[in-house]
Amino acid sequence: MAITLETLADAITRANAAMSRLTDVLNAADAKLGDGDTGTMLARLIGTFAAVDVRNAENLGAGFMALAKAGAASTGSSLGTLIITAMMTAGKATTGKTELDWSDLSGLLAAIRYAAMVRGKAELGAKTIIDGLDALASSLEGKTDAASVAAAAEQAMDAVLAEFRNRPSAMGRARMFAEKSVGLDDPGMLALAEIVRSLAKTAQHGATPVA
Amino acid sequence: MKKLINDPANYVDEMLDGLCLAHPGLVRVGDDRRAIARSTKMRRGKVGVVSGGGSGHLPLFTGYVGKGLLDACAIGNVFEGPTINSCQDAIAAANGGAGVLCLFGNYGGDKMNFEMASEFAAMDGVETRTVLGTDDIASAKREESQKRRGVAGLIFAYKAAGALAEQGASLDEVAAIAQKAVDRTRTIGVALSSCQIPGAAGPNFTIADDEIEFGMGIHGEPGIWRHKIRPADELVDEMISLILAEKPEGASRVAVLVNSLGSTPFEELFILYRRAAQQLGAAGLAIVNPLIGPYVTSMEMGGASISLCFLDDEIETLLAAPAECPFWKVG
Repeated sequence: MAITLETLADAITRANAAMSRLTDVLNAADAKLGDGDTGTMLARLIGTFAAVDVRNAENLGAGFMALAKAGAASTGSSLGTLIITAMMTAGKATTGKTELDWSDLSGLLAAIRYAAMVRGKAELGAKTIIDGLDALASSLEGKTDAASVAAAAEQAMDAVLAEFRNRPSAMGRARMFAEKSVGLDDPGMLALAEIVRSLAKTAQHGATPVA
Repeated sequence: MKKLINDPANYVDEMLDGLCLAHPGLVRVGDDRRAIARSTKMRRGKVGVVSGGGSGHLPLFTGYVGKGLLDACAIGNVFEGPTINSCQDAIAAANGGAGVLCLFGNYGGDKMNFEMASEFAAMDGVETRTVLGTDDIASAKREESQKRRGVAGLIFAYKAAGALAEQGASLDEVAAIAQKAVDRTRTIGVALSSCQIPGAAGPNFTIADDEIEFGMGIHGEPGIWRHKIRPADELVDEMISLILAEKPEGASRVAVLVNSLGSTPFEELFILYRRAAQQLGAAGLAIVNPLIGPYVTSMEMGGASISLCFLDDEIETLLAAPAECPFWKVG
């Protein structure tokens, strides 16, 4: 089975359900060096995505673009804008397509990582969500089905968080607390990891909604 | 912290409603009405000047929409950049056919969203330029001044760019004067107490009752040092000394802004200004039109900032040109 609008809609529903648990976790992670609103912002953004009728979009490209458009009206935060950039990139990459092979997901994520780097004027290694995307894209190379994608993605998220936890942040507000950021997860990278883990768990263990 | 609010989710929209009711010269525009524009029609052929940023800083950002200042402003949630849509709405509202200057603080989300909005505007044939406020000297070293945050000194760039745009200057000329005003403005602040985002579980940062943080940003970003509180004169001496270390060669006149971050009263601001005036006089600088009061705040944060705009003839003339917005009137 390939990735379709149904897969996309289902992933959004599950991510939205997961936010009921993750909002406080991510707010707490952000509050250590930031203003403590990453979870709240992400819950609002994913809630906005969940309200979009993705299933009835014309094709995958139109579905992703509808998500980008809805998101653009929902948040102005840096992380939110990078997620909107991701949706636009995916929309452009899947224009006119009704299906995407699981084996193409790695390449799509690499394109999203590049677009986020350009938009955010960010480099790899700065301890941001972009490092998480890089790890995710690399881990999915050669994976051709949902189960192997899920297993590799979950492992990649554990590994990238562990790899960067004890490094100083070099981007955004956290760069001003570079020393204090050592030992802490970057909130954006953590958000990506937690949502990927939630989606991966359901992909590996059946379609029970995660909350 | 106690606040006079209803549902925290409605904090920004209810605030904007009240602002526009109290000041009929302002209107909410756009699909989500998160941009503020002047209620008068944009003059054809005039360069538009827009800004944008998170809520929680009034009078910044929306409070400076008015004649001789901003034509429109995008506004985000508290301490969160405006959405791409809001930025697009502000640019559209300020488009008089001669291009639009986007003039805002150097913050990640604001930059990304105005950049995307400018790309969309270009598709509609609207030319834009971007100038970033980078006046907070505590936020990065002088060698990395392009990384500095924009804080209270941004209003001098608003005033200079707004005045030149009113005179019918071109987009490049308006952008150039905004950049010059930014380049000649320096700010540093001190924080005494925190603020809290409506609906948040706790304050934005913590600081002991007897402590002060020197150089803290307007969202609680860390400063240069935190120690026991010191007499006002000592603090002003250090603030002025750091700013004057970056004085442009030949500057002999300065515009001064002593700004309350929210809860610090006028009395304390005048105590700070008294010492600042003494120090600037001793340094041979003449003060022009001092501004004292809450011009850029962080809700109920306690503390103050001092901004100096080192004048040349062009900027001084533009700062003196007539302007009027809800929180600042000149001429």
